[in-house]
Amino acid sequence: MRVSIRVTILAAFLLLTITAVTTLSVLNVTGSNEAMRVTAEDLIKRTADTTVERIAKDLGSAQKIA
Amino acid sequence: MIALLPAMLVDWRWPGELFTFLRAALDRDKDIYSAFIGFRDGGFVQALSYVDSQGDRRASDAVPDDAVEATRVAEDLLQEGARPQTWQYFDVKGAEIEAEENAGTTRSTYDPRSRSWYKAAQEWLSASYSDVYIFSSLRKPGITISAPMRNVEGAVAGVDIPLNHLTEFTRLNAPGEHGLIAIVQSDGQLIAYPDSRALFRPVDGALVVNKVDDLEDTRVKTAMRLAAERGRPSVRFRIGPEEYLAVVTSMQGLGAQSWKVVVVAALSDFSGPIRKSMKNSMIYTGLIMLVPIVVVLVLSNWIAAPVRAVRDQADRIRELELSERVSVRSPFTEIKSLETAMEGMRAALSTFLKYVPKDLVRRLVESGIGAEIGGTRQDVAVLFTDVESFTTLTEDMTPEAVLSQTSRYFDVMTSTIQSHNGVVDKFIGDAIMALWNAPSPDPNYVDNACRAALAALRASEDLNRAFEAQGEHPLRTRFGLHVGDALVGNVGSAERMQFTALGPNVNLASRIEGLNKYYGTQLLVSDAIRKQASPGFVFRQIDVVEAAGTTKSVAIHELVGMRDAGSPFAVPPATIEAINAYEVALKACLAREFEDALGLVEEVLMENPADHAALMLAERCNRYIAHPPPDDWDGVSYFSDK
Repeated sequence: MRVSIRVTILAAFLLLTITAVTTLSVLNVTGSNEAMRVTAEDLIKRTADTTVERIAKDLGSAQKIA
Repeated sequence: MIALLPAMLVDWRWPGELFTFLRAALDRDKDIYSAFIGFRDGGFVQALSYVDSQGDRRASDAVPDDAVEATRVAEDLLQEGARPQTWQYFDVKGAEIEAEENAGTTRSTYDPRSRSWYKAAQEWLSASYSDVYIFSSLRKPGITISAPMRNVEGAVAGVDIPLNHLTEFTRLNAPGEHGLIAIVQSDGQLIAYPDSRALFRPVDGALVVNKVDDLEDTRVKTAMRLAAERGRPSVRFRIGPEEYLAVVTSMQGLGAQSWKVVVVAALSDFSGPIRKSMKNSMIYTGLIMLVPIVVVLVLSNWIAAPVRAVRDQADRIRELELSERVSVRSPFTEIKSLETAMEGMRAALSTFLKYVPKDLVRRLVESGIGAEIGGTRQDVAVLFTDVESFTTLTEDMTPEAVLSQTSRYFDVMTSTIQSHNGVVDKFIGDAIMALWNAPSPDPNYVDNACRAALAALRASEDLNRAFEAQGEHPLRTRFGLHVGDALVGNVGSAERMQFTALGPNVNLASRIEGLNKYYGTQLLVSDAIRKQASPGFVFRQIDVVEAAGTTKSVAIHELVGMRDAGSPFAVPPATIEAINAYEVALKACLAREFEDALGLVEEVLMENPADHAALMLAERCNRYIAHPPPDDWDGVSYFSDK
C-alpha cells in the first residue's frame, strides 16, 4: 500500500491530536464526573441536614411552647 | 411552657388569665395557630389565630371579617348532649370585636379526652407528636404537639402547627432543577412535599393525607426502598434515562412514627453544565485544530511538491524528453540532493542520446524489449533511402558545408519518417534505413510506410528547392521499400548492441532502392508492398527483376501517389490512365508481344516523352524485335550489381 507524504503527515498529525484530545477529554470527563458525584452527594447530605435542623427548630420551638 | 402553668391559673371556669397566656404563645410563634388545654372533666380552652404564618386565612363563616384571633371555652360535659361554648374575637390590634355566648344555638360535642393528642400525653406522660392530619379549617396538613400539665392532674396542653412552612421549605430548597426534598412518616405518610397539591386527596368528603405510594413520582418511594434494602442512607438509582442520588435521613423522638427526610438529586443537574462545557470545549478544539491542519497541509505540500517535481522530471527522463531542465526548489537537503542527481542523469542521458536514435530507444522502452542480444522473426516494412551521386556532389564542398547540409537533410527525413510511425534504424553514410512494425507493433504499418515514403520524397523535393535557392546542390533522394519477415532484435555484443532488422527481405529493400538508378525512378517498392497496401495507393509496375545477391525474381513497382483527390499525394486521372497503358504495354512485352508492346508504350511516350521507364521499355521492345530472345526467356531482368 502506498500513500502520499502529505496524507501521511496529515494522518500522523490528526492521530496525535485526536489521541491527545481524547485522552485529555477522558481524564477531564472522569475527573469531572467524580467531582460532580462528590459535589452532588455533599449537597444532598447538607440539604438533608439542613432540613432536619429546620424541622427540629420548628417543632422544638412549638414543643417548648406546649 | 403552657404545661408548666401553676394550678391556680388553669381552670376553664375562669379562663381570663389563661387566655392571655395562650394568646401570648400564639404571638410568640407565628407558626402555631392554636394553643389549648383539655381538662379531665371534658372542659376545653383554646386560643387560635385566623391567619397563619403564610398569610392564609382560616375558613369559617361565623368569624367576623376583621378578626385575626379568637378564644374559645367549651364547658364540661355535665349536661346531656352538646354543651355550650363561648367565643371571643380580636382584631389586628388585639381589641375584642364581639363576645358571643351560644348556649342555646351553637353547642359543641367536642370532647378533648377522646382525642389522640390527649390520650398520647396521658399515656406517655411527656411531650407527644400526633400523626400528620389535615387541619380541616386550613385545608393544610399539620400536627399537634401535646404534653401533660405538670400542676393540674388530668389536664393536657397542646399546640397545633400546620406543616405548610415545611412544604414551602422543601419547594424552595430542592437540590437542583430536577431534585426534591420530601418529609415522610415512617409508615409512608407524606408530611411535606414540594407539590402541596399532592399531599392529600378528598375521600368521602374528607381530606386524607397521601402516602408515598400514592405519588405518581416514584423517586421518593424508590429512594426509601433502596435505602431500607441496602441499610445505608445514600443510594444511587436510575429512573428512565435519568440517574439520581438520594439520602434518606431518619428523625427519632417525634411520637410514635419516626420522620424521614428524603433528598433526591438528579445527576444531570450537576453533570449537565459539565457536559455542555465539554461539548463547547470539543467544538472550540475542532475549530482550533483547523489552524494546525492548514499548517500541516501547507507543510506537507512543502515537502511533497518538490518530490512530485522530481518524480515528474524522472518521468520526462524515462520518456527521453531531456531538453527541459526543471529546477526543484526545496529547503530540504535530501530533496535538493535528489534533484541534483536527477539533473546529472538528465544531462548524461541527453548527451548519450545524441548518438542513438532517441525515438527507437523510446519505443524499445515502451515495448518492454530488454537490452539483451537476440531477436524474433516478424513482418516489418523496411525503407532504404540514398542520395543520388552524393560523393560527386560533395567533392567540391568543405566538410563543414557537407555536415551542415546533410544535417538539415537528415533532420527533415528523420522527422518525416517518425511522424508516420516509422523508426530510423541507422544512418549509413548518406543513406537511411527505417523500419515499421518494430519494435512496437503497428496494424497499418504498410500504409504508414508508403505514406512516409511519399512524404519523405515530397519533403526532399521541397528541401532541394530551398537548397537551390541558397545556391547549394539539391540532394535527390531515391527510395526502396519492401515488406517481409525479418529477424528483429538486438544484435552486436553484450557491451554494445544495436536494435535492427536482418534477413533477405532487408537486403531486398536495399537492392530495390538501388534499382531506381537503373530505371530512372525515385520510389520503388516491392510487389509485396503493392499487394499489402490499401487500394488508395497508386502503383506502376516497372519490371520483374532478380536483384543482385538474390535468387528469386520479384515484380517491382513505382509508388506514384494516392487516388484520393484530397490527398497531398493525389495522382491526376490522366497520369493514372498513362500508368494503366504502360502496365498493359509491359504485360505485352513480358508475353513476347513486343510489337504490340512497342505500340502501346510509344503512346505513353507521346504523352510524357521524359518517362524514363517508358523509354527503357520501348528500347527493350525494339531490341527484342530486332533480336528476339531465346525460347526459355522468362522476361526477368537480372542484375549482378548492387
